[in-house]
Amino acid sequence: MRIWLADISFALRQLRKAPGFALLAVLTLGLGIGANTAMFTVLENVLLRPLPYAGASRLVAISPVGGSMRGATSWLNYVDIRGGMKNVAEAGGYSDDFAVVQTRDTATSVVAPHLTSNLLTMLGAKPLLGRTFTPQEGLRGGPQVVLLSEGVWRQEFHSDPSIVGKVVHISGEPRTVVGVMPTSFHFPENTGSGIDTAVWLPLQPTSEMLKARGYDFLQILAKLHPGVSLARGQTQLNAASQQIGSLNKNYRGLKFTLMPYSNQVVGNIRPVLIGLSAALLLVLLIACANVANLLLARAIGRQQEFAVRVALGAGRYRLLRQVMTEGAVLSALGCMAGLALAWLAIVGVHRLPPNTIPRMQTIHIRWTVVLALAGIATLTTMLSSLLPALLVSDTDPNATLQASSRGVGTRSARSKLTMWLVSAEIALSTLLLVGTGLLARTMWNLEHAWLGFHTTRVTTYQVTPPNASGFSGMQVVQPGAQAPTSVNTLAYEPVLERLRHTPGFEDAAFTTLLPLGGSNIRTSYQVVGHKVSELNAPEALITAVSSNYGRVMETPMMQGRMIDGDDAADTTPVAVINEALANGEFRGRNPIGQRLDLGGKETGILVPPTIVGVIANERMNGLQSPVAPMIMLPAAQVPTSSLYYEALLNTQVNFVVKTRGNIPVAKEAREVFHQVAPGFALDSFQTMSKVLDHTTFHQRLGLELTASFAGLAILMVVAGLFGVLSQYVGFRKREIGIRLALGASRQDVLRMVFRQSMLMAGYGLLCGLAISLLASRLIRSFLFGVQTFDWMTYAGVLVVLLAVSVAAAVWPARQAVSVDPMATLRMD
Amino acid sequence: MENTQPLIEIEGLTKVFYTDEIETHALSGVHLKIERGEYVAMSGPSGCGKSTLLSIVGLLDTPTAGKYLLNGNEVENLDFSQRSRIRNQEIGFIFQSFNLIGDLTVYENVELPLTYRSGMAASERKRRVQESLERVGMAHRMRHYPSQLSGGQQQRVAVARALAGSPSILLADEPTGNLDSKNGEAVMELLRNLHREGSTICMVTHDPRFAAHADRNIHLFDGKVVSEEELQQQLAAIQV
Repeated sequence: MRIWLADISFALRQLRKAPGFALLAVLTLGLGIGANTAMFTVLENVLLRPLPYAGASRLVAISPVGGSMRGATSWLNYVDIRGGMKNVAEAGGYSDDFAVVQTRDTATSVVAPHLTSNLLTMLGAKPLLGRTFTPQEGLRGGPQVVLLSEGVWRQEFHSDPSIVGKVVHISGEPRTVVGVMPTSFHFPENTGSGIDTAVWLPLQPTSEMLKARGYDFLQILAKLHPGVSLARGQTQLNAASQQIGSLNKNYRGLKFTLMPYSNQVVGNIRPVLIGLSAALLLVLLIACANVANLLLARAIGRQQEFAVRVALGAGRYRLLRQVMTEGAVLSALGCMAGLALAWLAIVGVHRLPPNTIPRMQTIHIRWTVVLALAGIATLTTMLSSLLPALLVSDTDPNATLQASSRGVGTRSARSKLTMWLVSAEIALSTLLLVGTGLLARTMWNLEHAWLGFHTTRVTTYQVTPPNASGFSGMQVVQPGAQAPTSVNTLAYEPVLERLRHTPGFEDAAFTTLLPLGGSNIRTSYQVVGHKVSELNAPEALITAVSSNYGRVMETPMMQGRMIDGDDAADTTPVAVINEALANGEFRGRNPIGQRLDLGGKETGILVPPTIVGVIANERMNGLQSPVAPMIMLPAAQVPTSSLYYEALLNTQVNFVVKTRGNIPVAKEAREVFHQVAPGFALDSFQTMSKVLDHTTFHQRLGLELTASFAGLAILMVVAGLFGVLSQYVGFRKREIGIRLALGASRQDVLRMVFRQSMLMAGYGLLCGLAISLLASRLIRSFLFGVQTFDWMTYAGVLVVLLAVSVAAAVWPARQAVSVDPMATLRMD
Repeated sequence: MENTQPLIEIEGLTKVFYTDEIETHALSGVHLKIERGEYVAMSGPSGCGKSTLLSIVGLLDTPTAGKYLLNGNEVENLDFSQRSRIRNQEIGFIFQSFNLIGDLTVYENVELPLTYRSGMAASERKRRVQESLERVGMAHRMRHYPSQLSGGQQQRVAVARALAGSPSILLADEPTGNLDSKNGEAVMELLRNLHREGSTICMVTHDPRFAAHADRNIHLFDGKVVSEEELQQQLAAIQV
């Protein structure tokens, strides 16, 4: 033990003696370890840590195979599946929704998931105040209750301790507060930071839900009974699906699949995180190679010391242990620096936009991370110290101690090794740079891609009527019942009229589906005269727009005309379709004049609208997803008695305002609404350019992270090249002196140093480019408009790394040409 | 017409080193002439300035004052690249510790000074290298690395390297200093043969046995050229 302590003490003394080396090594390791620790913290929270629910590992998401609406199904299917699986699982359901929380002073639109009454009990959720839902509250016509989030309770109701039992107004309806959920409760996951200020409502089936098997709005979540495998659950689910098909001829062939809920939560971020982790591992490897190089250089400088130790009787193991101890001390110091950097990085992660990473709110450095850090430290110690230690332990004391045997030049394995290590660093950096280059080209392509509309001077915001019932409360007004007056007539059209005359505003319109907004309201349709079975009915996005929408967004018409002010409630119902639908459905036939059956009595659209125009494809769900077919209806022609009214109009709609310059819109818009339609909630003001930025956020984040990793790698490569070349010049001083004595010019010496740098860079680049060619396939799914072998990127990387190699060689080359041949030859 | 001018002509050469405001006069008014084909030995006690003088003669260093004519051309004020060129073409160095480059083979070491000459064809380089190695009896080891040779063999290779460029003068700084007596004798024999064949040699040595091989002995003491008698008197005075 005392010898160990002596080794550690000696190692610390050695580091004190060479503070520059120590600082460089600790910083290099600190950067590598810190970045990896931060990434592991994210990975641990997102991918490895169980969800905070009772029996989280048994929670499974059930979704229809090939279904739409992000895995949603109907209430009727849910009921049948729940019944069919009761032997193996307990099932619940939820639908993502929103609501307007009204207080005396404000109307705020909030996230408002509707949950089946058993779901919270199934998840083992414990309220902060009050209770969760009772079975009665989940029945049709049951008590109107609400669960508040701690955020809403604190913000809107000033942390009223007696809130439970009080009646509050949610989307125009009085509801009794039955409980308050703590901030740690984030169900449904992936809702983003909006879940911090959410309300949860019990899902009470409407008459539409009870009769329409095609009314897909509900996500099914089940908890397998203990001991039930996924396979057994799937078998039971298959049986339940078959049962549905056998009883409903339109649903023959309907299939459902189940997957762990955690997989659904993690979703698309898994490959991103794994890709970034791989990139960071490369950075750590480069850091280790750099530190190994520094240690090697130190070992070469301390040859005499090691030879003396061997001469005095130190064994191979003893030398190995000493060098490894020095490496371990460096790693430990690197870990401390790394932990501080990781903490800073996690602070940065919490500042990312909401929903960037699933379960972002719960990302913190935990003991598991500290354990991982210890693992990383061991790994870095092994990687950085083992080679120098093995070489040192091979010291030949006789050769080293005989000064006369001192060779001129670098014909030693150690020097060659340092050069190979730098070449390896360059190879790894090439990989990172190629990744950065491809992502940069992707980013450029995304930012310059044709969106189908123009973002310039367009501001958008969401408007929610005070009595918006949300998607979970939709129903068709029964024949004979009084249909309400449309919110379009009452509020939106008069508001638009005022907005269009507001100084600085050029035009205004609204749409229920904002391009790039990510909303996904779909409908099945049939072309009149070409009817197919209900299960095979094609689907399209459905939206309602006001007049002037096409003018505000500057979306070109490909055929026919756009919806305009003449398309009123009492004129012939019309529709405009996008190119994707025209090409997919009509395949060369003229769609103009064709009529679309949107459900008839079942949906309340009794007269099939006639197609009057084909509009260019607008990117609705990001730039990399294929453009979905879309049907556009005039808002004025959506009957208030139809399902579409609740789904499209009496809900959140997106206003778009074209301004005459870059001027703010919020104040004027709020003023107009306040005067024309008080009580409406206005949220999420942002320019369309900002919306586009959000759409490309993942690519940009990936690019920025990879670019910073590549920057880090380049810094390390510069340090590595600089170190090795300085060492090269140092070791070759005598040789350079001889060459100069023999008549070499300064240019000859410069050439010699630069040639060495180019050789290392050349080998590294060659390997790096070859590896990149193979590895770039892994990021193919993140690329847009660029091939994995993009010669411009590869050429750019080549130029950058060659320039870096030249730059790193400048100072050592200067040192080389300043060698005084007489002084070095006098060292005989 | 035969060139009767001395190969090296040095007048009033001084060299002063400045360290921490202390002036060290390494050479003080040295006068020296070396004729073509002459074999000169320079000797003197340690620190007398013989290596400094050899460095200046070899254009590795510049004098503080004085005149230096090489082949009748003034060379004391040349810039770095001009001195490099003259060193490469006119001077062949033989060092005490051989100073071969470990990464290069015997062939490559001998070829090295020729690679710094622009415009010399590879075939010409090859011919000269082979010829030089044959002159020193090392042609059979041309693919070896220096570490695979004995000290005597390494010094022979160093001599071949000095010869390869057909220099006007060979400057040898204690060429036997790192060799045993047998190998030392062999190298001295080699130099004697080269001299017989017409080479001009200037050798620094403190071994009177080897100095005796030269046509002329130059004695240095305290940075000045002195006669044999003066040197003995000075040394005796120090001993007293």
